Amino acid sequence: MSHWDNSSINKKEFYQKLDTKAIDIVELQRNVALFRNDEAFKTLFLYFYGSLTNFAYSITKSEEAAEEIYSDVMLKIWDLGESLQGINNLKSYLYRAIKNTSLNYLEKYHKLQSIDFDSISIEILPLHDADAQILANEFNRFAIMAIKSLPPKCQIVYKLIREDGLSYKDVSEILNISVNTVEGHMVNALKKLQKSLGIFLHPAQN
Amino acid sequence: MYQERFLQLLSRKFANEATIQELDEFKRIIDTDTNYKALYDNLQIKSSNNDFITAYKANRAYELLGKKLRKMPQVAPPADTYITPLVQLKKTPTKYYFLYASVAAIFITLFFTAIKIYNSGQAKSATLPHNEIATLKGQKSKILLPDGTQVWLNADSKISYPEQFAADIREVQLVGEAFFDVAHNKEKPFIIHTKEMNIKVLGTAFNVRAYPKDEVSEAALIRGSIEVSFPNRPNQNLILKPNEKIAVKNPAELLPENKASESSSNTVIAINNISFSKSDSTILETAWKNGRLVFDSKPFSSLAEDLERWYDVTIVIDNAQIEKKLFTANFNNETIEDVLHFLKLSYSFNYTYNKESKLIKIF
Repeated sequence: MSHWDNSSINKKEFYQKLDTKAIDIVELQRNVALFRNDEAFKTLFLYFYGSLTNFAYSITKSEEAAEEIYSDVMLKIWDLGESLQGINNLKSYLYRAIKNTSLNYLEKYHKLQSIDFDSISIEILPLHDADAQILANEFNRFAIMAIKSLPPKCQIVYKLIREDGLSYKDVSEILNISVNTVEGHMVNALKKLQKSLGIFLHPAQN
Repeated sequence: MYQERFLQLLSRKFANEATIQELDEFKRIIDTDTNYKALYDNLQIKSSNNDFITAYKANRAYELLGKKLRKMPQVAPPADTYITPLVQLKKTPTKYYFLYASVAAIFITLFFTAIKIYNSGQAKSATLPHNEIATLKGQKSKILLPDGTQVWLNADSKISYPEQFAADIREVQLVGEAFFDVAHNKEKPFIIHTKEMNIKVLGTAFNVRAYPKDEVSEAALIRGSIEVSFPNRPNQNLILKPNEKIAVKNPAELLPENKASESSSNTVIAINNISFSKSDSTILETAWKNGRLVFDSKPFSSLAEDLERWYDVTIVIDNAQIEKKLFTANFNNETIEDVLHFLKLSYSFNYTYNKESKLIKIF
């Protein structure tokens, strides 16, 4: 904690700004599209930053590239102007934009030819939050490790649904797989988690 | 098999995809099987994206991007729409020239309405310029009135108000449904005029539903107090207390034929308590404001009208039995197809949906 004390950043304020449930994406989208409201744009930017740079990182394996890709995509959103109103599901749209931009990045900088999303191994960014890690009990750390050791497809599906709050349909559009396959991966992920967490799951522990 | 099913239900619950029936089934399992309950409880943890360091990085990244944003030209609101500004627009006549032109027709209509209304004693207000905000079917809007009052306008509704309220009174006209959070001002009562009732308030929050096609007009009070008067019955004022709602029967001549014939009851005005959702005790009358579509023992025929407004579709019912069936349901951002699918589960009917013409046939 102490290394934050001498910075002027107000921790509580950031948490409020990043509260994942408190924003109305559609209203903000409309404010950006019709009125070029940069406060609304900033709220969207901060809101999606974590999950989308994380998603870009899982494809590019570069934090720098992930941040650049995210900023590029958001700048394009701003440049869309009124046509931004035409986007039906902004969240899913952003994930798809990040995916495509990330794949383009790989092609360009790693001279990879025609990349198939399926062949890219997904890797989830390590957990930053020092506080959370200290507070987390043994079980939590074990559970997070268990999530990280899921097969790539299971892991990304689990992450998009559980942590980023996307629906089956969103995930199916983002990963180009059927809704049934999304559910299959999710069920598989849960099954594996149940197995690897088995020793902890004895109800007597509570 | 049992385990597969549980994991499937758990997956759907996590993805917010579970139906009401599936949630029940899920609850039954974790209530009886402690192993599954333990799994569910323990998977509540998430490795969050929104920790402090991420927040710091996000702000830094925005600062870098912010410099590029400022170079973008400012754009005027689109010319071909009268959907609401979320916050009221500041007046900049040149930019909004087309906007004004496109709603001129509406202002003319409004002018005549205004004359009609103000003939009954408020002549001085008629000269003030009016704003009118309308939502189409499938749209919702939030409006800030000049006095700070907030209005959430539901689909297919229209509110008009003066650009500046008069010195001693705040008056608006409403057709359709809206939720009002009225800025407190003892000196200047706030009055909402609808076809069947006038609602006078000092400062309070309440919902008004006055669609011409509905059988009744309603006002539901959340807090404060309101006084309701009726254009057609000058001496029958009523005071509403919090958590009460008033329903006024719309005149039969305005209703579609099939409904008029049913309106045999003599009750014209009724006061009831507002309804709470059984599952999470949200107030049903105002759930729409939060994007939720809620029905509580509602006949299919009137539920269909809500769906028409909400999803901008046309529904033709060719099934006499279903019209009077009562439905209770709670939808949160579902598509129209999902809604029909769920309704069908509780009472079987057939339907066709033509996406292009947005026509739904129930049979």
